[in-house]
Amino acid sequence: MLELFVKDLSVWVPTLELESDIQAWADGGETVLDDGSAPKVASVPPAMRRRLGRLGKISLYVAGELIERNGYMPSIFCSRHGEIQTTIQMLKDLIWNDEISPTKFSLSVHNAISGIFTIANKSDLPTTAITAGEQDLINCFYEAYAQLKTGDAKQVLCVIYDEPIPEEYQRYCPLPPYPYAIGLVLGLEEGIKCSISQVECGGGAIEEGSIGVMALEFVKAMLKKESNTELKINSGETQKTWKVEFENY
Amino acid sequence: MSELALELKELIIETLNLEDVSVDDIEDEAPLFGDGLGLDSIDALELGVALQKKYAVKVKSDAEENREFFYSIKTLEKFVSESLKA
Repeated sequence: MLELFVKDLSVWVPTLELESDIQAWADGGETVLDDGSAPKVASVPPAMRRRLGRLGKISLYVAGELIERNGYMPSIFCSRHGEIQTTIQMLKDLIWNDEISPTKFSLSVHNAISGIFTIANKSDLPTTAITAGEQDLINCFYEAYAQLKTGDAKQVLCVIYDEPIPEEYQRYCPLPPYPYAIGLVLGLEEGIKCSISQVECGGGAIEEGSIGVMALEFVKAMLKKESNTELKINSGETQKTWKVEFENY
Repeated sequence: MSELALELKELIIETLNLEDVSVDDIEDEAPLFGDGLGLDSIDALELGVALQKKYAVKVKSDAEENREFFYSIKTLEKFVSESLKA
């Protein structure tokens, strides 16, 4: 079992600007229509900011908010698809013999956003970028837990972000439905306590349409102040389930 | 300001996504890289690609004279107009 404490939280989802909007979204009363907007990232200097794609902007926006409130700390950037829209566009440019944008290419690797984050903050504290399919949240928690248990850090910043994948590939993976970035400050003592454990469940595969994005399901349950929630994904013909218990709201 | 110079300034602002910079902020003879507008080597590559797309001019990646061509709006204008004539 994994025991972690959420000390602070920041959420970016299109059109949800106020805390009350985010709460309404968590409660299930707010549907999200992507308006293509991106937040202004004040924590990144203009010369670097102008090169960021939308996903870079939203993830650095939540990261910036959290370090402003909690100070700088080691960071984990976690995304299932990364900047998939940019990547596919570059591949198309290659196929059609168009020149590839050097700026986009220079920021196309998975750890580019975490790199910009440390450069913008002039920091030499550890940062890492992970990708872990549908289980991104759980693996992000494992990484954070390992860092908190073995390193000097008292708190670790986790930023989990994704955007919808290009239309051509939607039928293989319809998630996420809209771009999002979730920032969590995790520690071992202070904040909302989360006890996470994988549970055995005999059930077969879950119906495709009823699987949500793990990070979003987790945050919604926490904002609703639920005492526990189950995070599920399909693994072949069976389902994988993690139980999360919340304490100390 | 010539029409081409204005076009180049607009191209630079748009291609390099320069927030809060207008065509009037870019002086014809001021350096584009380093001290002046503060552009860097990735910007130079990006600009080279944009010039090739828009004017079909060939920018050699390793040519020493690129430094001269890309120095300011004025030198860039000269380079593009001469390439168009050639």
